[in-house]
Amino acid sequence: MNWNWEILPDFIFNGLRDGAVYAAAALALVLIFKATTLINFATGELAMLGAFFVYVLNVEQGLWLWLSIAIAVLISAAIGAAVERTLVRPFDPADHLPVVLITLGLFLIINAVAGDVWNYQVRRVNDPFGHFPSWVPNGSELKTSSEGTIACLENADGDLAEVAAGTAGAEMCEMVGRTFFEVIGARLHYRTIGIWIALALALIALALILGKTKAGLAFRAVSSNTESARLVGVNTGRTLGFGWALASVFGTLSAALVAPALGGVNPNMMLTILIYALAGAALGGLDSLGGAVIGGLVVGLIKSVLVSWFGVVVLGQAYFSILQLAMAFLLILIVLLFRPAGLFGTRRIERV
Amino acid sequence: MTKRRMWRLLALLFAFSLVAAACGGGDDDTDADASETETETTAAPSEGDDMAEEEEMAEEEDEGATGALGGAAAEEDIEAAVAGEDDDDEMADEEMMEEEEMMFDRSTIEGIFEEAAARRAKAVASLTEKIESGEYGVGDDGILRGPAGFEIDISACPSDWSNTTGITDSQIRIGHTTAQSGNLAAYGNIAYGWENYFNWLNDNDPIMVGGAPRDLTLIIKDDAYVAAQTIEFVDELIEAENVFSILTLGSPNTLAVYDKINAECIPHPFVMTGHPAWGDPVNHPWTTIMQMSYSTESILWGAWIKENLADLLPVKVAGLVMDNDFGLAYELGFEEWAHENTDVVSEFLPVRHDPAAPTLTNEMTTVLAFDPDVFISMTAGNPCLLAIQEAGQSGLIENVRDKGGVLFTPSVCKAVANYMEPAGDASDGWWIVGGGGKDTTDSKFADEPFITWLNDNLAAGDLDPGNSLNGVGYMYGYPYGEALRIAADLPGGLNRTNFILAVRSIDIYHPMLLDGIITQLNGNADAYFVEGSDFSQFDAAGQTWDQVGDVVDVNGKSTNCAWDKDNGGCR
Repeated sequence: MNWNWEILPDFIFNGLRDGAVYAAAALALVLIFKATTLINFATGELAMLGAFFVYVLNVEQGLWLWLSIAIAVLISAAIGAAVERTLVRPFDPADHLPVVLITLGLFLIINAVAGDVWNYQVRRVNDPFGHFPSWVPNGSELKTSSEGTIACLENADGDLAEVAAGTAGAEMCEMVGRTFFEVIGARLHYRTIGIWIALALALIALALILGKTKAGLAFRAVSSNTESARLVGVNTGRTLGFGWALASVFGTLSAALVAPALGGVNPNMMLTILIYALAGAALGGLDSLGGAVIGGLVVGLIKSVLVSWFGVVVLGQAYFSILQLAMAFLLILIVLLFRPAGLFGTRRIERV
Repeated sequence: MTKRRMWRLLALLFAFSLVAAACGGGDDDTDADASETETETTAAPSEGDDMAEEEEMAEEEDEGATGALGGAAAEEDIEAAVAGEDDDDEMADEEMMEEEEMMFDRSTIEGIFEEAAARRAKAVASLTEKIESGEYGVGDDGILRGPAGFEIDISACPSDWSNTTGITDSQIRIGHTTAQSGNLAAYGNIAYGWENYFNWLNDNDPIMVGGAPRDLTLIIKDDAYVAAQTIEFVDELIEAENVFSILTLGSPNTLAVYDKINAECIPHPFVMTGHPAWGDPVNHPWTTIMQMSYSTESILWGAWIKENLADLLPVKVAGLVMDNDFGLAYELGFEEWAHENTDVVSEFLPVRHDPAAPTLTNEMTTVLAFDPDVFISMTAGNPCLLAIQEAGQSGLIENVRDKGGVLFTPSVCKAVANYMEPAGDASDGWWIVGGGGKDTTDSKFADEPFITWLNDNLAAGDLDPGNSLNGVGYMYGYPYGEALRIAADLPGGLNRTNFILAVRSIDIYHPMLLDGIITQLNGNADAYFVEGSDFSQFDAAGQTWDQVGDVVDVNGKSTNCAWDKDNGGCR
């Protein structure tokens, strides 16, 4: 065995980056599950649609990237609420089968429509975290050289101009333009840090929404006991719509953040990610928001560290690389067999 | 309770065994075979080899004494071609091509069509003469005979087989399985381009059967690049759709159905994959290849390294391999070459990836840790783009170039708009053994008459000319259309046997391939349509592939390949 310890940090960072994306997608799954106790199989495709909105607004229409993401998130929220109102609410909440079939149908329809509109061609998107200055508004987009470092900031004419003269300026350009930090010999990309920060901020926002707002309180009440919530005057339909909207927000956020790492947006971008997210949600507990985050991160780590580093690098077994997805399925199975509620989910106790 | 726990454990055991089966036996034994070869290349020789193993190795060496990899030309021929040492045959080919070029005006679409018509007329005259003399065609003994010993025993075809199935009063029905959903769905666009070309033929120069025009009609089935689906759809195309011929896309998919299609005696030419197995006119006479074979490409990588990285030799090479029949054909091809050329390649590390993997970060980190001098991407579809992007992000590009090494992307990733442009600046400077194909979105070819004409057709058909893969449809459709038109003019008109005769003796000028690439098939003697390539380097600023040096072509020198499904490699 070749214990290649020096590259382990790289794999850990890879795992935590992918894991953060799975966590965001898992949150979307868990939000729907908490509200309806069913898995929304269209979560990934709704998220993909959100990422295409970002593409259209930012790349095709030229809006500032973060504004594009904000608008796309709002549109996705509206679509999520609309789906709940038109396709989910008419059915008896106690009868899961029709709604599950509807989400499966939505999955196929959205994928096919997106494929028809965008031809399954990968569309390049701007990376919100690729280079530091892309976090700020227009006029500061960077040009990168083949080595991944910048020439420098763009001036008003669109030419490359050094923002500061001399060696110090060049060094600043170099520092600002790099796409990563070096941490214990491994590359920790801005993109990874950005995704972590975005996930953390989104979680804080979610906690505030659920904990400090009336809508959040209503959502918690409905997800705890729909009948009781209705009896005390909570508009359950509207509250469930709110849950679907929130889930769409997290889905779109995860797709928009991960798109640059996938080469761009394309109609199939979320197919596999949804499976990892599902494994993360199952591991953490399908009704636990915190569990979804931890589950997503653990799945990312298992995929990177256990399969890729230990299996491929340490054991030297090339076929381990195709086990990444299989490991996710295995994880789902193990959790369902031995701890159906997941690590942090609510255990169901039946009294007789 | 104990019983319940026991059931859970059993279920878990079952799941583990499923996973183990997936990794051990999911693919064919090509997988295992490639892994073994990999160990030989990368690890130190094992101790205690017994006599049997030594004998086996000696036998292997004897078999490989010619230096020929199945499905490709002999290494020495390819290396000589790369080094620019043309032999007499090649010089004759070049002279012939120059003559032809002078006879027709390839700078206009009319000139290209004129040349195509003249070549078809020549082919029809030659084949007709041989059919009428009894040399070619189906004899009284039920054997279809063609060029260079090509034979098919028609009497062994199914009892309900007909030579004209799929030709109706108004249509010629052609079945096509392709990926229009799933991870490689982008390749499904090739079908739209192909259909667009056939629509143009239907409208402007239809195929005549019995004096009446028949529309070429494509029946497209989306197999999502899943071989099991391909099997199902091919059955449907044969049994329910009654197609005249079949076209498949993808190595694993085509491998899964080519036995059946050949047993059913259905023409299966110009498949959309470069696996060497399609060069097997003896055992699979109805199936032919169109693009350069992956084996030839693998040797060309090696030959280029040997010729151009002399100061670095021997080099460490890492490959990113799509873990299926497609990627493993590349891996096996290059591994075999590396094994024979230890003075050129000191170590070869293939890092495999799941075809459905959304990212390749971990795989590229593994590649980087190997610290290669040369990196070769052996993947397809979206991973083409991911490989380039991740190579940039991980620092691999920097590392390799700092050492004076190079990075290759495979010929199937040549599409500029699909795989190079989205990768941004990281795409700059990548090398390709390009198979001679002209990408329709490459700025260099934008003004070429055939490219302009086809892009206009695509736009008229509401297809995006900015999507290279729509244009690739013409690359595959063009020889298919030419062969159909030749077959339609042979004695007996268009039927399956005439079609396969036309395919097996085709010799055309393909306007979507670079000048210097010969496009011929010749029965059992030449089973590979394209056996040449350009070496090009990508210019990100110009969004174009810059050809470096001359086109290399070893036409007619590839050995046939009866693919060994059990053990991988050519028998």
